[in-house]
Amino acid sequence: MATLSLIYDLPEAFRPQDLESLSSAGCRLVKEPVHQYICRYLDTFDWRLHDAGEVLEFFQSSKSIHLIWRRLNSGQILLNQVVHKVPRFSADCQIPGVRQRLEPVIERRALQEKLSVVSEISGLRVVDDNEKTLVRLDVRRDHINLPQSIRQIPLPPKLYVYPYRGYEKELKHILTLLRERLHLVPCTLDPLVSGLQAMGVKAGGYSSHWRYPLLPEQPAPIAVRHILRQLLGIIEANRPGSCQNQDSEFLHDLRRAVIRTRYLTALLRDLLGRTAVNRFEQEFEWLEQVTRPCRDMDRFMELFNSFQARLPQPQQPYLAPFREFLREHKLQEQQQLCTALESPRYQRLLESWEPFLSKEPPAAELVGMGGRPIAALASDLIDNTYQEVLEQGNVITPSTGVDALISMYHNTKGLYFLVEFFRDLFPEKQIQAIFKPLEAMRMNLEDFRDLEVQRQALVVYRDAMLEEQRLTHSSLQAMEQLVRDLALQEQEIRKSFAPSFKKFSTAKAAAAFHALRAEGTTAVEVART
Amino acid sequence: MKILATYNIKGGVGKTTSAVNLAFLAARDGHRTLVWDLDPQGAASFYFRVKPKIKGGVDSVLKGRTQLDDAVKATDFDGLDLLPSDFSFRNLDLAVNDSKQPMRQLLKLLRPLSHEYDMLFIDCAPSISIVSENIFFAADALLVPIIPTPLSVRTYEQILAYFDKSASKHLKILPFFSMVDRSRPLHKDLVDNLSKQYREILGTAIPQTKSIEMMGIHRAPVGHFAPESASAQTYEKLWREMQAKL
Repeated sequence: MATLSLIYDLPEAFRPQDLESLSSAGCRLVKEPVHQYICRYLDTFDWRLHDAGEVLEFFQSSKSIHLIWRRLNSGQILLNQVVHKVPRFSADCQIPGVRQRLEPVIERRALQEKLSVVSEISGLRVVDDNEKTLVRLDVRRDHINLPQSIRQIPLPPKLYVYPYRGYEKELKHILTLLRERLHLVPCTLDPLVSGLQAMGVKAGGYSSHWRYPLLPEQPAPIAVRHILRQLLGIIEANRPGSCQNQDSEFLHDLRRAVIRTRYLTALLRDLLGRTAVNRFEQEFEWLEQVTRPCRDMDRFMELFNSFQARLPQPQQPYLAPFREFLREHKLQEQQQLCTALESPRYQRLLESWEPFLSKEPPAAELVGMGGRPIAALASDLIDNTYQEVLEQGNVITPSTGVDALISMYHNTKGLYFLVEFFRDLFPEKQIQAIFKPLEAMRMNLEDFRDLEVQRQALVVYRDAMLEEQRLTHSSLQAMEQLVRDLALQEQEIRKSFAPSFKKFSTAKAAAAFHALRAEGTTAVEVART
Repeated sequence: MKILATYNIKGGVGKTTSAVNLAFLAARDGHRTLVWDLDPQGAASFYFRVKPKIKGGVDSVLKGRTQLDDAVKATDFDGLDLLPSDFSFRNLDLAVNDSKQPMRQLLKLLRPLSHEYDMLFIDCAPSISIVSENIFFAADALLVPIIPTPLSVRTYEQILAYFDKSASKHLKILPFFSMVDRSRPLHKDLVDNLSKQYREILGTAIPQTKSIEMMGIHRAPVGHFAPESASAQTYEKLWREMQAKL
């Protein structure tokens, strides 16, 4: 069945009374009083609802809150529900129907307000001879209230058509009349999108899958600065959300950008200027350190349910003090995180790093090796790191110590970063050929490293809880059981390293890396000509 | 989906008004709610202004030619839908009896709706028949309105006697007083005495009021057109009490 469009653009001069002409086409109409609502549009920080083609609207009056979940552009209603409060997480929805539908789309992400409008609604009901509503027509005039301002931005008026289940024939008749009698056209831009545009915001403008648009022949110092500038943008974009603790993903992404910045500056010290970079390296190390405890707490809170599920059923309730410990310490760490991210030290870093990246590299940096096209440098870096990872992996045996595996993890992750930074320089097919075996091995090593880190952290938390006298004997046993269980799983993960490395070190994967190097050489030749 | 049936062997005890008002409150609480008007008189359909008509009637539904979810009509209240009555429901007993596995017919018909709704209120016709037994089999609770009159009390005792021998042990029976006029000594005495005798009778009694009578004029739940009235408040209290029992 073709999707019916249920939102219509209205001419500016359109008056709600104009709809009353439908009565001459045999429609019985009942006029509703004009109402004013605050309409809040919610989505996750990374626009999951928008990207899924959906819109979540909450209409708030002094008496009630009404949720309308509809399709983007067409206005088709997915859910129309009275709710008790505007939820922050899907778990906040006390109504099972809302929670069940919201969870798969937003997962554990928080909902945040993307747009808020004051909505004046003039409604008209199309009824039958029993005065039963068959279709509702709402003329909406929305205004965006700018924060801390008396100025309002008016949005173009719209007509919303609300169908009633079981009255589909009547709906079709009304839609035909709207088109043919009133000459209304379905809206071309969803009201949410046009509202965001009026605010200068682009919906769907954030993705955690970062891409770095580069040109193969770009001189390497310029291209690398471009990547670092983009990473700085990500750090800054995620800073307010991290401070306000809106969603743990803000801090996660902030740290991902900091870690990548550290990796790239350390790797390309000479290219960027050793003296200047030394200073920044220290500062980014500090930034990584001050953001770590809060992220650890977020991660453990996310993992709590799965930790609990690892324990035998009767032991599970005894892990509850650990959750309390995490909650309380998370609050403390959150405060310290905020202090750090709003500190003069962070400001100084920002104020010096941004100009460093924005200014043209000195001419001296652009001669010799510094003048190489980025594609050539990228293929060299990728190939060299690949060779290192290969050598390292070849000497790992079942008896190799944990440290060697962790070091292998760091190099593999480095290789992964390089492929991620430079993927736009190479044909996608070549990138995919190396990503697949690399990703499988990286995930294996990451799982191993995560379990090792979690196990060690649990021991630290256990000791801290003992010191704070939070652990009963049963809770202590539950914590220790958990540590043992993680250690067992770590051993299992370790066993699957060998097969994942085998896939990474095949002749096919080697050929894919070789092809990438050849692509870089071609770029040098192209740049020379 | 929780299935709650307003039931009594006796007619005119307030089954339909209770189903309509309680379903309205359930929907207002945010539960996706459906009312099934199983009474061929179609009073619940009348209150919601929906025409009591199902395409093809009872035969078509039982033979699967009309899917129950195709017959659902949205009411004028958010989150509250209605499966309207049909005059052919007067033959429902015969039709159910003629089908395979007659005791499970209703449950089978309801299955496709179970993911769409959190609550189903069935407004039953006053009788004890194979359809009633289907309802006892499918429902989680029976909401039994009792008028404080000797005849109504007698039918409540008949219901209790029936369930004493019935296999539907899962069923919660939630009796409550309905259409109570405390100015009448008989009502007052019976409410006081029966509450002591039958401890399971809920504490909230629905009064006989003008606003409940006005539902027939407004054709809407009392909570919609007179939300501040004593009747609306009492239904609210009854709903909270029932929820606690469920």
